[in-house]
Amino acid sequence: MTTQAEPEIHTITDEDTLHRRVKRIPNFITNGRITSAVFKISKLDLDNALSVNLERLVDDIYTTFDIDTHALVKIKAAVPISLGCECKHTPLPDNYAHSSIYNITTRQQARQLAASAIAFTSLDISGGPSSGT
Amino acid sequence: MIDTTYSSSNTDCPPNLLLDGALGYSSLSPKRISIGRYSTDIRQAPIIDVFDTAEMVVLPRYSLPETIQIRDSESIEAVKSFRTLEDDWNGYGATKPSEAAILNSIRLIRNIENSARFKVDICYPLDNGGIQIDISAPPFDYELEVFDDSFELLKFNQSNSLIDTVTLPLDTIDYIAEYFQ
Repeated sequence: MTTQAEPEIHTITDEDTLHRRVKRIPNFITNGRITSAVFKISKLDLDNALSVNLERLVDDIYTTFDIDTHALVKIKAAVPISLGCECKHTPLPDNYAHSSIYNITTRQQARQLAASAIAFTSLDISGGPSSGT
Repeated sequence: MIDTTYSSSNTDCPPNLLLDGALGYSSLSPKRISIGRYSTDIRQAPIIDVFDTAEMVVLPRYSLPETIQIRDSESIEAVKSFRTLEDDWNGYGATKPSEAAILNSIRLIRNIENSARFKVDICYPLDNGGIQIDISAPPFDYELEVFDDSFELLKFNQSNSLIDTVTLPLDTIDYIAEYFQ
């Protein structure tokens, strides 16, 4: 009997960037600022954490979200790590880049995550903050 | 009582003469019509006493006063739009906003906007059926989390540090603006 090899698990460091898909509607940005409600997780995602993708493992960004209906929110892993959250690479069978942010438990964490995140709603998602809205 | 006589050449001809006589709105081409005397005695039915003929004058159609429409603010319209959301609206298993939270939010926003000193930045559904209202009231920012039977007010400084949290009963909604003063 053969067993499928476990996928390699990567360590997420401060230098990494994380992606979170957010539906464009309802609008979640005003004056370039993302509402913290995007990061308030009371009904936790898979495995009781905030689901994200680890940017360096994303082969084709367009397979992970639909730009017509979703925005891409980017955040440096250093931010949740500095707020006491744990960031882990948690690959799924259909999404090797899938990762999780654990321990988002306070409103202040959510607000500071939102304040540090950048939302991209255009196809140019490789650029800097100017590409955000 | 017959007391006045008009003809088409009389520029002082009061519009009600033609309106009452229904002579000014014919879709037919100009034709000769009769204009005569009418009664200004409101106790009597209009009386046309034909004595002369004139070209019909087409008057502008009488228009009703413009209707004044009171439009809701963008924030309120945004909250109303949350009624179209279904469960799992965010793709991560969220519960759709409750009708009670929507109504409470609208009431809160009206009270805040009526104060004119504060600005609602954005409204966004929470994933548990509540609604968050972000408010700028320099030097602080506020987040109102609105639920079915209560709401919670979070106060942040400019560094995004949470400096106060208050849970308030619904009957304080109408006085919410006072909190920011």
